[in-house]
Amino acid sequence: MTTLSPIYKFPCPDDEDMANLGLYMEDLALKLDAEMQARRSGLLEALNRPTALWSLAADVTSNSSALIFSNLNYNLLFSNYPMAIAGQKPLPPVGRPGWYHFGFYGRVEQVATVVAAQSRNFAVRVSTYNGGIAPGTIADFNSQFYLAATVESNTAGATGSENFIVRGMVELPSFPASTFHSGGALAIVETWYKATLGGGGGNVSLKAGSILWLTFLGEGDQVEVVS
Amino acid sequence: MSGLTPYFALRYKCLGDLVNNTDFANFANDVDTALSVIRGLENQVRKPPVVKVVRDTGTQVGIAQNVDTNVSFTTVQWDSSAFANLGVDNTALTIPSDGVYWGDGIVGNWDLFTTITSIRATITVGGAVGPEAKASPFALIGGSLTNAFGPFVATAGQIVRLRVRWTGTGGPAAVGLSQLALYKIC
Repeated sequence: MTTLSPIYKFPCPDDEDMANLGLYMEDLALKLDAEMQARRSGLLEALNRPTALWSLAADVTSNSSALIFSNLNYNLLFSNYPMAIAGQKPLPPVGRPGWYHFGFYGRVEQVATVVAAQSRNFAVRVSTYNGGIAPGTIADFNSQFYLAATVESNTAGATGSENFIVRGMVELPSFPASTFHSGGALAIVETWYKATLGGGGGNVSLKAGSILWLTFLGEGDQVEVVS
Repeated sequence: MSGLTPYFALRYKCLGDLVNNTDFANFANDVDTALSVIRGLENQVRKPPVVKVVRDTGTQVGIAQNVDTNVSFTTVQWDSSAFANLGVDNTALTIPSDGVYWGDGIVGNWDLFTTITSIRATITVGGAVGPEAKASPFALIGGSLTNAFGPFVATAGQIVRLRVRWTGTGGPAAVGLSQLALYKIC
């Protein structure tokens, strides 16, 4: 009598099954094929975890009021997942809840007169956005730095410049495709930045080319282990 | 009658077919080929492109004020994918395959300046500015570190470097312990 292997249930023909060896070969081939395809899919997924990078398309001047990053103009530098809405908006993958590494690195310049040691606090908020209704915050990140009076000759104009980076991990919910396309129920990961002025006035200019990124780290669920 | 499986095209016999040694060998060889494909992918997952080069001996001198200068490295700590060839160019790492990489560059032990008002570290990708960091005067103390890090898009063959620039008086300055590490995200 044919028995089955303990885990993957591959057929193990007995002596009396030899006349039907073709049948068992077919069964074994199809089961092996399916199992190996599952392994290949998992490995390819691990090699291509959803990742996207956007760069700010133009300089943006800001004071202490918040800007919605999604309303700014971006160039999509890279994405290995389809964007739910055509365009350059920063969007997460559809239907892929889990933990993401998120961040923004940029360069800012003082627009007006440089006063040494003016503090700036850049806050970046990840939130859902519901068709113009108040967004629901998922997570907040911020970075504080000081503007220097010293000017490097490779920076534009007679302005002080600084680099900053804001990053962290966020757990994003599942965004089904219908959510992205249903108008009032539109859900977008919004990112905001806010330059809180200190030590003197003057706006700051967030420079074109600043980078926003999102990369999938893993699912929040417990991983099933089969030994 | 015989068949092929849908994903890996394993050749098999069906009900009523006689299975001979050739059929068995074909099946075994097809499984072997398929497993080799999977093993190749597994190796890529287990051993992704990763490199770390360091300056762990001596100092790099002659870094003029307000001039972009590439950091030179002395030792390859690890290199899974032939990024580094310090004997040919001790400032360069070569990207092995297209994708998104994470870069982490640290410049340390600044020295030989009189006063220093800013230091900037930039990871350049194909000559263009990538992740960048600048230390403000308040953050500077003797032997300060500057750490530039972040993701960037790169294509195979592009050169990645760690570049520094400083402002102040005196010099030319020198840097000591420094490192540049890259790994492929996807």
